[in-house]
Amino acid sequence: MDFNKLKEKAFAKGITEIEIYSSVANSVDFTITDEEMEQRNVSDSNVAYIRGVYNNQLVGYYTENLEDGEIDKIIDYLTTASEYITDDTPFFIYEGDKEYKEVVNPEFKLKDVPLQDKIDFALNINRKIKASTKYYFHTSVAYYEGTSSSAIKNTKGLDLEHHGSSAIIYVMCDFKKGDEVKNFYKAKRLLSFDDINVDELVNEVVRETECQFDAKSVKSGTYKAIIHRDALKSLLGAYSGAFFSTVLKRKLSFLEGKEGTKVFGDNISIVDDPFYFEDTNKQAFDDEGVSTKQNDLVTNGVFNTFLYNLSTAAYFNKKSTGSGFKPAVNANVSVDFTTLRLLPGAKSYDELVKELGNGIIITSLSGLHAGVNALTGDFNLQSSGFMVEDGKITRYVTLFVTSGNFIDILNNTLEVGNDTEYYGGIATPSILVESLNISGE
Amino acid sequence: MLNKDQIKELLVLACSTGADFAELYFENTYTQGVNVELQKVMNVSKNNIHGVGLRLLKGLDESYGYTNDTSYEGVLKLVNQLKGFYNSRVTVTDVNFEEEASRTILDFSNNNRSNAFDLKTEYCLRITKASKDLDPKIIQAVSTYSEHVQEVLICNTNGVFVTDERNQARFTAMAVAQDGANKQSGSAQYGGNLTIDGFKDFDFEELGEKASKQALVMLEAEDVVGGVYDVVINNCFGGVIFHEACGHGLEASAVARGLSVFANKLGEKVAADCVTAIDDGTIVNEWGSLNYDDEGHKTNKNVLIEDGVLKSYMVDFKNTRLMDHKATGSGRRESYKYCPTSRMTNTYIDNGPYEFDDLIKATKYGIFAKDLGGGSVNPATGEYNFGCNEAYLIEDGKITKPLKGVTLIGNGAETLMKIDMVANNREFGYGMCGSSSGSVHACVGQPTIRVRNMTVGGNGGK
Repeated sequence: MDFNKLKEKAFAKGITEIEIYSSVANSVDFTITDEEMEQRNVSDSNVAYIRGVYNNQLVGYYTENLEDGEIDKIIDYLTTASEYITDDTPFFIYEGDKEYKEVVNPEFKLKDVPLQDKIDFALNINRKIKASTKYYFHTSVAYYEGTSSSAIKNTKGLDLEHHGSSAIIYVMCDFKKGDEVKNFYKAKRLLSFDDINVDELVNEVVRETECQFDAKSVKSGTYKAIIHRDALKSLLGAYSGAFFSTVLKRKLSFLEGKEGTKVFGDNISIVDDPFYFEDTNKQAFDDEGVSTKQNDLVTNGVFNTFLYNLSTAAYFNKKSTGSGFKPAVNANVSVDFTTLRLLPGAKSYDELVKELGNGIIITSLSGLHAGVNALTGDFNLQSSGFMVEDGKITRYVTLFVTSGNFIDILNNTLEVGNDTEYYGGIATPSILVESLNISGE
Repeated sequence: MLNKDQIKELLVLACSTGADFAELYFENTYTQGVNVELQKVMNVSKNNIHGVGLRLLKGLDESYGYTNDTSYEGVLKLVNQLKGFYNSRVTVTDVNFEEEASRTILDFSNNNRSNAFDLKTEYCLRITKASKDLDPKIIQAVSTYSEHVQEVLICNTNGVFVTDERNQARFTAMAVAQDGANKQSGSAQYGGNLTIDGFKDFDFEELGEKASKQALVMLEAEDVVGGVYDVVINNCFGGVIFHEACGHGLEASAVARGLSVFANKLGEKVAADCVTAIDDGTIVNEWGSLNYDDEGHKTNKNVLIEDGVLKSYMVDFKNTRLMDHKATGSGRRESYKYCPTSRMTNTYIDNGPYEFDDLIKATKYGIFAKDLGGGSVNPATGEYNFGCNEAYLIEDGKITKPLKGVTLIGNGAETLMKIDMVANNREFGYGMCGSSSGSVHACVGQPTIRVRNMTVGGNGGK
């Protein structure tokens, strides 16, 4: 869509500012199932979100049809829709910062690697899994590779672009023992084949699937526990909204009124880090064009700040924390984190298990979209994990409910591990906690 | 828009390297949204989803691609990309499109449709006003309107050439009540395949009050003590138990490769005698209904389980190649960006003989799950979970105190066998179901049922 044509027509209709956020993305992916090609996908998208200021209101329109002939329809919508909005929260079309941090993302080395090599890589993983277990039923190995470019351009002179490429390998194992089927799923991001230790990956998925056989539930009660980093990642993600000023504004954050106060234990520090070394798609600016920066959300248990975009910053009389991100291209700017990190402690995972002594390790939590109360921090979630006896992992347990409160957990964390893993924008180690309520047998 | 001859030409070209099936899915969708907090209209939104998806099959070897460029050149580029994946004997050299009679399962002909936001914002404001005015403890009231007007053209080398129009619309209400440091929320919703005209007689105030009442009740609720209980699951959105515990396990995408606990069990007893479960995409103007599924096949009323016996799966076109089972009009996708697969439409347990009160009176000690939230399932193992938005203890056949944090988990195959009472008050609830072909509009429904010995998680009793 021609920005100058859009601008010209917008001004002619009385729109005073206009901005286009455009996104061009291409991807290719395939799934190998049981050593056969099951599916290949390609995609090519070119979409835009247009925001305009008319009659002192900001309105947005998302379109996947970027022909110039659509411009009149868009302008018409922006002018008529604005009359319905009665919210008086300040809004911004931003002119940009004077300078931005220079961000260098690692090179995407798979770009020019032939597709057949990628297929062979996935096939190799599938074959190794099959050869490593006597319980093989089905396995799918999927490879996804995407390239995206986003650009923000507006009538205040903002003109920024960001490009990124990445790939992900997904492995889903289904093993069968008698009539019992168990499965395990693992995803890993990669920029080159060297980023994946195939033997380690195969050993992990085979081990994590096989250990589930003959698993029973666990006796109901209160247990000392380790929340494994995989499970803790889910919880952190589910409660991350408490740090968002947009959630605060709606009076839905349990951190309301608590800036500058101790909310968690001394051993808990949480940061929003846009330049985390493992993030292969670091960005120097948010989706409004504000520079990103590290935000220390919690330091030694003390809650420092919410995350703000330009609008909520003005509303609360604060400064933007460079957190004005769109949840999707087709949505308006809201607030989000970049990489959410629970800072590691000193103890290794093995040391945590030894220190647990007798208790339970929670490795997986499901049903987070329904079993989490974001207002109170309470949660009740279907879980799986391992029992620990005398400092040693014994049996796998499954189909029980872990109940607790997120705030209580982070106030009663005995130890923070140093086994951090990063995936999906969250980097966290495992933690040892005083107690969790378990409902099972 | 391409004409029939151009489409035919592109489909044949797509098969020119050996694919035995090609399908094009053109889409132009407009969505609208309204977001109201208390008495302020925070946002109105409009999206145009526009593009085309191409699917090729050679046996079970499937390729899929999509683009926003629906011009002839754009589709030709996609065709050339995908046909490059095949290299074998040509089997498709022509296509004869069949004329399909129009269906009126979704019928908007008598409804006025309006793109304007007047009524949409007015109704949302009525919801939040009623919500807030109910009680001084209500500190937040939010309502939303969402509308999804989808026009599709589906054509394939089997002769399908079908257009369909869907118009899902829904109002939601959410309220937050506060008493001291205690904050709890409540919610309610109503929708269907309806234009805004279809809501003109709806009681929006009742919807707003329903959300607030739930939030107020939950302020008084105590944490449930985890354990094993008999659970009376209410009607309407209580149907999510069947959806999560069993519905996904009856989709061909899981069954075809044996990755479902219900695989290879047609004709066998899989549920208690009192259970008859149906997936019906033909309920007039219902939220999950379609005239044609997203592969261009007529939707059907599929009896999945009858008196406890497994009668049918939900099967899409591709999986008929793996299963000895006819297609059931169950091929669905969120948009042109997704390859279709077997999905639910309006899925429900049918009415039984009991009155609602009979189930409560017959329960000495248990839980009444009045309103369920969402959940999830692992179809291969059958393990599922879902949370309750509103629940109560049952003591000596009476509903007593409200409970919070009630999470129900179990195994779908086992749960079906543990249903022992089914009431006669079936209603539907509206939700979005997520799976491999994206997020689709799906109704869940049931009458009130009782399930014996369910594992219930909760934070109480510490």
